[in-house]
Amino acid sequence: MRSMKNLNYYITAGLLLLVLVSFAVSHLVQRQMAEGDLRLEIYTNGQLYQKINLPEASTREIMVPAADGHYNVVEIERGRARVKESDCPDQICVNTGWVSQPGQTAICAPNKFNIVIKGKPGKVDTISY
Amino acid sequence: MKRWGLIISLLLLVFTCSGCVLKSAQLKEFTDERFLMDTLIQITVYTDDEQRGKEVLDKAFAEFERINNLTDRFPKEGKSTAASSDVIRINENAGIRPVQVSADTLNIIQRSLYYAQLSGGSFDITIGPVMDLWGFGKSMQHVPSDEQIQRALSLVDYRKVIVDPDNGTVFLQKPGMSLDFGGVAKGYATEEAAKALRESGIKHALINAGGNVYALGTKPDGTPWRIGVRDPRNANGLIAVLSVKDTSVVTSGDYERYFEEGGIRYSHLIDPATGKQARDLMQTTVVTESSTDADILNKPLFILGRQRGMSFAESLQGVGAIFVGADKQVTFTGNLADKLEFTDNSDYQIIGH
Amino acid sequence: MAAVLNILERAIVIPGASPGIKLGLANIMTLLSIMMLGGKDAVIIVAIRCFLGALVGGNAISFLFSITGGMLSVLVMIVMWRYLSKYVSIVNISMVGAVFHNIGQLFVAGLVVRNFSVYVILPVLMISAIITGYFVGILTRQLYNSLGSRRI
Repeated sequence: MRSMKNLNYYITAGLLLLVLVSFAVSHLVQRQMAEGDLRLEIYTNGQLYQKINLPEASTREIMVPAADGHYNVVEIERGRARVKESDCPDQICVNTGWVSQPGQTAICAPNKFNIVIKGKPGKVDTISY
Repeated sequence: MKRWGLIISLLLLVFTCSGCVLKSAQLKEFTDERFLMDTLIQITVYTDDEQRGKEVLDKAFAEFERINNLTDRFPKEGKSTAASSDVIRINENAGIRPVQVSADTLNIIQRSLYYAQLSGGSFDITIGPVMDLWGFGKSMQHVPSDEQIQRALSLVDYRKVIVDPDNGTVFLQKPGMSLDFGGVAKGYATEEAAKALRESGIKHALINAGGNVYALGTKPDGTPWRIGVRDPRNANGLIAVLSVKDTSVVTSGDYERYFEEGGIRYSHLIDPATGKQARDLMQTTVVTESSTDADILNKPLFILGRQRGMSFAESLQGVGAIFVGADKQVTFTGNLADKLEFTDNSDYQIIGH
Repeated sequence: MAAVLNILERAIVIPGASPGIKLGLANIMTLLSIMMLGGKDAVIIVAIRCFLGALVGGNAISFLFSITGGMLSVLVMIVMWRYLSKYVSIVNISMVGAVFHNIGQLFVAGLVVRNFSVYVILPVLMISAIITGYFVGILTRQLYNSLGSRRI
């Protein structure tokens, strides 16, 4: 009964909170829309380690250290990436090969490491020629 | 008490019959394509009502038709001289008498003469005789002799175009001179069409007149329009993407109109100084608010070549440009840096600015 | 009672004032019906209003917008009035109703364009819902009180 008495205030507070949350949502959506490029995100232990813009990236390799002295090597070319090398026992991540589409991942469970492709490739509305 | 309640309820009901619709009206896309001005014109508008969508598109296309009728240089069969375009009448009276023309034609000519002067003659609408010599605009093209070119060049001089704004007349001083609006008509028409759209209340639209693009407002979701720049050597590819709003993007290249003779490509982009093709660049793109300016400026930039073209572009306010050289190197003005995105097209080397 | 109102609503279709006022009055109407005529009647009134709205000036899609927002909003307000009216103010109920109304509409919009991009206007929509909900709530409360504060 007592908690109910304050319900009115909770609701008002809830509404204000809603406004704040809506700003966050709006911002998120805007960011999503603005990023038209393909991005590679590298995660270690579930934390974002590095973000790379794929279409513009020049060919290179990134050595990513994992826990206990383990490692993974990510190779990047224009528009795609792969786990080139890893010291994990099952090599699933390496065998995944090249990923280039948004959503595709290569995961190395033993090393708690994964890469994922984010975003949508830039699309044009019309062409000037 | 109850009756009052009823009555008030009724009154309120009466006023609220159509009060349910989402205020931010849902925008729908309307597109139409028509073949005008010797090319394909595509217009896309966003509005909430189908009827309005169609009306507005018709209005925009009508502008293209209007400007086409005023500026078309090649007489259509069956049309008497009096009814033909302003340009035809001006050309027919070269060296004879001033001709009265419409305000639009005057506008186009004045703008063209302005840039002709600014670019030191690299853009010249009196290029008609030279274009005719090469055969562009006609059914057969061929490489003329140097002698022929020199003779035609004697008729090319923008300073001999006399404009009388008070009487609304234009006079070409030498007989045989002729104006060619090929380098500006589309741009001007696009600008007029965009104006018509704006006046009709359209806030989001895209016009593509044979490669001359005008992006009106933003996309319906508020993000800028994304305009691709075609790869000069691959009709299916892009070299860059521009993110713009309320801006024109016009591209000129040696691939648009050309013929080949003896294994060499001869494009329609001719240097008014030499009467021959400019060969330093393959393609130029101009990014600026006015479609007329964008259309015009491509010509001098292309002809001036990479170095002088870049200096010229940088000297102009509110104008951005991209230059693709015959050597496949790409340069661009600094003011485009935040709007340009290069595709991963490995054929081209992006130098920057 | 509701039947009479419905018939009259069907019979009278007159373009009213500006959309803002129309919307506000509609919401006052909805809330008042919940409070004075009961949930069932209120739902019927909302449904009919949406049908009429689509017939008069809308199309299938705008109907979808209005019915989703309208139903969500009226159902939430019915629940709040029925079970929580002792603890929650009329103004609050109105604001929550307005918020759900807009959420419902935005949700449909998102489905129609098959994109999350519509949610960019969420803050604007929420703020306007809260503000209009506030005033609708105040007006509804006044009307309710002057009409006897009871069901009919």
